[in-house]
Amino acid sequence: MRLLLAAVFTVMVLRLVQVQEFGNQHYATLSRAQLTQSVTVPPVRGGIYDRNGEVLAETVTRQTVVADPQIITKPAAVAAALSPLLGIPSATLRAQLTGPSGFVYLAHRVPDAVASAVAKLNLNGINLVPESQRVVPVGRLAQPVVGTVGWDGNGTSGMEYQLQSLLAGKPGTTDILRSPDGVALPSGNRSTPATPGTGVELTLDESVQYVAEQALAAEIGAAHATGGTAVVMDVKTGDILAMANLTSTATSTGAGGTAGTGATTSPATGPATLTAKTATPQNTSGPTLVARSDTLPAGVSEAPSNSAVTQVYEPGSVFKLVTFSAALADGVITPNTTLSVPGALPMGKYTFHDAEQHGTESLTATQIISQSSNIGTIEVAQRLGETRLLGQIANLGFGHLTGLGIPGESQGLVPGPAQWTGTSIGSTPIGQDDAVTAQQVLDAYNAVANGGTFVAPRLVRATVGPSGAVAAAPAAPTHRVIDPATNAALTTMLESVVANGTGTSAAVDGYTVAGKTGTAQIPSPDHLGYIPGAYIGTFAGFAPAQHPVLSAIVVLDHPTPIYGGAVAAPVFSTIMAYALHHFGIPTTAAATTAASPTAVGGAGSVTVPAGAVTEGP
Amino acid sequence: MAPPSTGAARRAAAPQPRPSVRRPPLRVFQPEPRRRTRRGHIRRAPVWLAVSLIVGSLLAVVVGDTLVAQDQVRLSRLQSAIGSAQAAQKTMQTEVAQLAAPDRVVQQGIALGLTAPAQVVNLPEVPLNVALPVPDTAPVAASAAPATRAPATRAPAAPATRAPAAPATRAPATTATRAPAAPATRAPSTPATTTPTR
Repeated sequence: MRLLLAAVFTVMVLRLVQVQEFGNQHYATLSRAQLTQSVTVPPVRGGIYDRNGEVLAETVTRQTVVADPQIITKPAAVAAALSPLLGIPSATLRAQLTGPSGFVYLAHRVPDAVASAVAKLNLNGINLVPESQRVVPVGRLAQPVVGTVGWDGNGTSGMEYQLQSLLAGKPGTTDILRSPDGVALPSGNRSTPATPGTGVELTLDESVQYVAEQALAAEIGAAHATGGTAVVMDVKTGDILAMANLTSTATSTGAGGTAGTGATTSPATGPATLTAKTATPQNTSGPTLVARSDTLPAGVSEAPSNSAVTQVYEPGSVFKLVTFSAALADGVITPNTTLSVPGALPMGKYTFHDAEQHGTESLTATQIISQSSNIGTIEVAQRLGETRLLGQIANLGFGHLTGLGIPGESQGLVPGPAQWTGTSIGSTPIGQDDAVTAQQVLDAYNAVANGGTFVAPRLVRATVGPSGAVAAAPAAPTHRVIDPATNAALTTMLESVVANGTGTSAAVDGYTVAGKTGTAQIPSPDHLGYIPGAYIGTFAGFAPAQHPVLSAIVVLDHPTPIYGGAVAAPVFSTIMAYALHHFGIPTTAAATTAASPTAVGGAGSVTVPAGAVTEGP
Repeated sequence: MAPPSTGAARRAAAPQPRPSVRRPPLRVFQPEPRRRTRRGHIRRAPVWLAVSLIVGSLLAVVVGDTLVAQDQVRLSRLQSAIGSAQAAQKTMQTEVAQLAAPDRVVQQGIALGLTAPAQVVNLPEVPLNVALPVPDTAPVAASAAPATRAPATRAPAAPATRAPAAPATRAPATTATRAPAAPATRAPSTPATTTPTR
């Protein structure tokens, strides 16, 4: 008997030793697994700001109410307590609280006041889990550029998508040890902190962006256009200060922006939008944009994509910059070179005309570009030659990506030697045989504005770390494309376009402006040739002309009237006027003033009514 | 040897009683008081010390664990409060951004009766590094007709045609820190421009 007892006791001791010494980790792990609830801590997504630090998109943390039905002993009472706070019927909550699951969402991303009230109830089995919500305080301003996030909080378009890896951060985990009653035990928590995303400071200026969108939207409505694009750039740095891409929701033809392909326009859509005050707790559709009301005029909305870089179009006369810059550089022409310009120019089976019928005229090169003569430009191109023309096209950046890295960006379609035909020397120089993006056109004009130095455009100005530390992005690369003397002559010629040519509507009071208009036909998607009566109007330019600070392009798709000088140039003037004043650019002494009263004392930016007594010197 | 006979033999075989011996009177033995010897004392001290250390250590562990648990609870509460405060700050930043959005500013302006100006008159630039013209203080010669002053048509000081100064081609601020969202206090950046040539 004693031996039996001793044997049993020995076995027990050995078993205890085995469990406590050799198997303790195993059993401890099992214990923790039973009592531990692992919660993923989502990282805070980096914000997107404009160049002045104004918030364009930011993530805030909201609380989501969750329940563990398995430990709720009085679901009816819990449901009754939560119903008035969450705004969910008590019966619905009770059904969720009596389900077989051990985890159920009751309400996503509730307002802070609701979350506090739920926490104060201290209900067993009811917990709050942090979730992120993407907020866009400025509404749909610059939405094609900023982009949107999807249900899972990841970027789906624009900068949100392009910079996903930078903005997203890394999730963390928190292991919460709970007693069998569901009470969290603070000593048992283990957590890996989430790594917040890095914020991004764009080059956009919120105010200039707003004015650009408003001015463009107004003209889209007035001209019954199907869409439009407006981009403003800092001449020296290549910073894009505004990039507006709008589409008309009132028409059913034409894609948003500048494409004349006949695609159906659809209004910009995105995740469900809520205002901050009406956010409903029942929203379970994932991260949403908390947006204010859309402030664009009725019938106009943000384009579904960044059409300034994704949509190509035949640029028309704005492309004449290529021809004249090459011809001046090679000495083929000077600004005062006189050419005999007939009213029509047959070439193969085609005949080229100017916009207005005329007889044979003697025009200088400056007059040819000022009046946007197609025939005169073709004659200049014929003197220049195919090789040099194609070289200058590539030299000014056409046919290449801009370097912005925007998803879906097009490098355009420009003819090469293999595509050159007998009539290419007629169509290519006047911009009717190429497909380029609005940004590429602006980059070329910006190079002229920058003294002949091409500067790559950029949209990201700096990154903002989680602590607020700002790290500037690298400067845009530059390279010379036009020699200074040629550039100066070209600038003077472009000034004449605005002073007394086709672009007079682009003038800005108090400043000299240089630029070029464009009115281009839209190729038919169904057959060789163009859509009758369908045009794209463009104006690209810079100001002040002699010491440029800002450059801009405005493109209108299917406008009425069709001419770039009539529809795009006024928008350019409005946007440029605001931007120049916004940045405090001093006025130009020799600027023409529109409809000024009696100007006293010669050209000046101050006008005093004649007869008034003024203080003498 | 032949076995003994019966009774006599047994009696003969039985041991003979010894002659009685006088026993001393019995008394209770009183043991001497135990004397603590130095050697015994030395042997017990480590035992007490060890016991004390063990008990004390256990008590210290218990107390320490209690203090740690209390601090962990406090830490947990503080972390939760920090998280709540940070979330509230972000929310308020967002509300500020909403209030400062251009469209809201415009709508508020319209609601207050403000309108866009029909014409913007640009005032001339007066450079501070150029002296103003000296005023003519010479006395005017007397004449019969009352002096009538023709409207002074002073040519405005030639508006400074200086080209815009070269601003913000500032070197990348690699260590600049910015408190997130103080939009009202940051002046907008001006685009870089050429250095004036005159």
